[in-house]
Amino acid sequence: MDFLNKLYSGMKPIGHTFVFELKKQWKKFIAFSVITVGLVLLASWLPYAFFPGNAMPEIQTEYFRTNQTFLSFILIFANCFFFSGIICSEYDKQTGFILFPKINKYKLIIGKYIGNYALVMGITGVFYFTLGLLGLYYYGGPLNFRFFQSFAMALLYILAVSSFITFFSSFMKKENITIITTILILLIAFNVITQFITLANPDFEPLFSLQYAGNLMSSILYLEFPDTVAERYFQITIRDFTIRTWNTPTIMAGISVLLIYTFFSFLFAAIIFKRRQL
Amino acid sequence: MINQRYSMKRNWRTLFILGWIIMGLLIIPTFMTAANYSVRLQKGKINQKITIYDKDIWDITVNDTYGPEEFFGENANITGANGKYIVRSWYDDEVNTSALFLNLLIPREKIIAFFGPPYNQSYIDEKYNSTYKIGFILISKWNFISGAFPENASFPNDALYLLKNPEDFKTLLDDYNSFVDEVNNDLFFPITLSNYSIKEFLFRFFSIQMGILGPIDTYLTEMIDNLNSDNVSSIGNTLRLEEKDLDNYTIQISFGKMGLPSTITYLDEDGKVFYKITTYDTEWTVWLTLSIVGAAIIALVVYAFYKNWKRKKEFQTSLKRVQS
Repeated sequence: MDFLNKLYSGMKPIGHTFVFELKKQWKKFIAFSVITVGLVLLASWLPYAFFPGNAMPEIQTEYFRTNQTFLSFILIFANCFFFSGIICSEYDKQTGFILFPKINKYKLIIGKYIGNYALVMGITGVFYFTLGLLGLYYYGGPLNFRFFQSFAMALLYILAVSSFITFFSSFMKKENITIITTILILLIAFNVITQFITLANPDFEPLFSLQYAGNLMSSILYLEFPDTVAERYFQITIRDFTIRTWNTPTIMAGISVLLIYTFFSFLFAAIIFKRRQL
Repeated sequence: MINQRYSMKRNWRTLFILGWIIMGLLIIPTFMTAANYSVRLQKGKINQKITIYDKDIWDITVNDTYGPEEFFGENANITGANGKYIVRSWYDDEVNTSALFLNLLIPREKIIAFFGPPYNQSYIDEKYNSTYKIGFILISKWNFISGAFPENASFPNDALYLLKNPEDFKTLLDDYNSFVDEVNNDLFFPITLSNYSIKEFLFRFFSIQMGILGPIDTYLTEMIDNLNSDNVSSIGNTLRLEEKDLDNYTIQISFGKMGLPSTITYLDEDGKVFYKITTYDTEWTVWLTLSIVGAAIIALVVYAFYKNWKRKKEFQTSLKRVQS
């Protein structure tokens, strides 16, 4: 009983921070949700509703797969906007002076992290809910189980991306700079490096890239997931020069990459956060 | 004074231009479309269900050697079986006679004989030089099945057609039947074809291959008037096919608001339904979900406003108490 009481009182600050974070960020959540619904309608409804000649995919899962264009953008932007200030804002605005003596700083960050994760999860839910409704409207029910697998992959992806941003937030000074840096890394740097490496050595699978691992969100929707290596890339050979585009990692490799990113990002963030002075 | 008059003149001019724009955009197209038939399709699924199949009557009235699966595909002889197709896209086109002969009328198992001379595409188009304005509808189609649908469609890239002009049915039927006579009279050509009666012709089209344009009742009436046959009639959106001299059953095909067959019914001499395929809608589930979510959001917003209002009121009350 004592243990439960201790656990409860230990968890209480996390709960309070969690609720506070939800209250603080709800406007951002609403804004992202509205944008998400707008983008889903823009990509998955408008082109089919207004252009009769624009053929819809044959089956429901293909409809979901081909209409995930904006998902990784939404998730990257949402993660950057929600998680960039998670640590650095306490130092930048020096709120740590007020908060840290009253609440364990790790509990504060955990509460904030869970709160923001819940909100980004909500935005992902809004995306899948809207897309799912459109899928039901056009193709009828039930929703294919792969759709839920894709949602699970998206949750894992936001876990990895958010931890990656939390790591940047742990050593950067300002929230805005963290947002810009992480967006640049996630949207541009990973792709540029991947392109260079695959041009130099087409056989090298870009498993270092979060973006590449995130492709699993859509590729898991394939009716037959590519079994062989050759099925997982597309390449053109001009004379002796090969340009290869890797489409998706294997399911196990993708999940492993995302988990490794999550683990190490949290680890380094925790180490830096421990040593960081107000 | 001059300025006022100038401004009035400018207002009248603006109103005049606006009037013309409104006339051009709204009123004139309305008059223009009233005279034409329009495509009323919508992308998305169409569910079908076999609601009635009385095999005994079918065997007596239609044929005892084959069942409805002969016309409507696999498992169409199972009561309660469901089928579906997804309307994926459509576009307008103008085609020659051969395209319709080869895609819609010549039986699939004999079609290969018409890819080469003498009765190939160019021969058909030269001899029967009509052109047809059509709508081509791309669909993916699932065969009828008793349980859950497989993930992959039975026919991922199937097609439906629309004939834009209802008078074209007559031209097409006449051309086809004279083509069949020509082919059958050619002793050196190894393939023989069957002539279509008006009933067979329309049934072949509307059972699985074709839709119509709107307004549906006018389109059907014009088509039937043109075909000029006692065996075919229409009431509203329903087409009635029978062959009074040969058969002792009637087929009724009703068209839904999109112009695609919504119900196919076989009736015996006494008017008893012995085979029926209906289409049904599941869109309501989407609208219900949307309504529930919408209502929940509205309730949440109202609650938030109420809470905010209550808090402000409490604050003002306590402020007054402190001030007094």
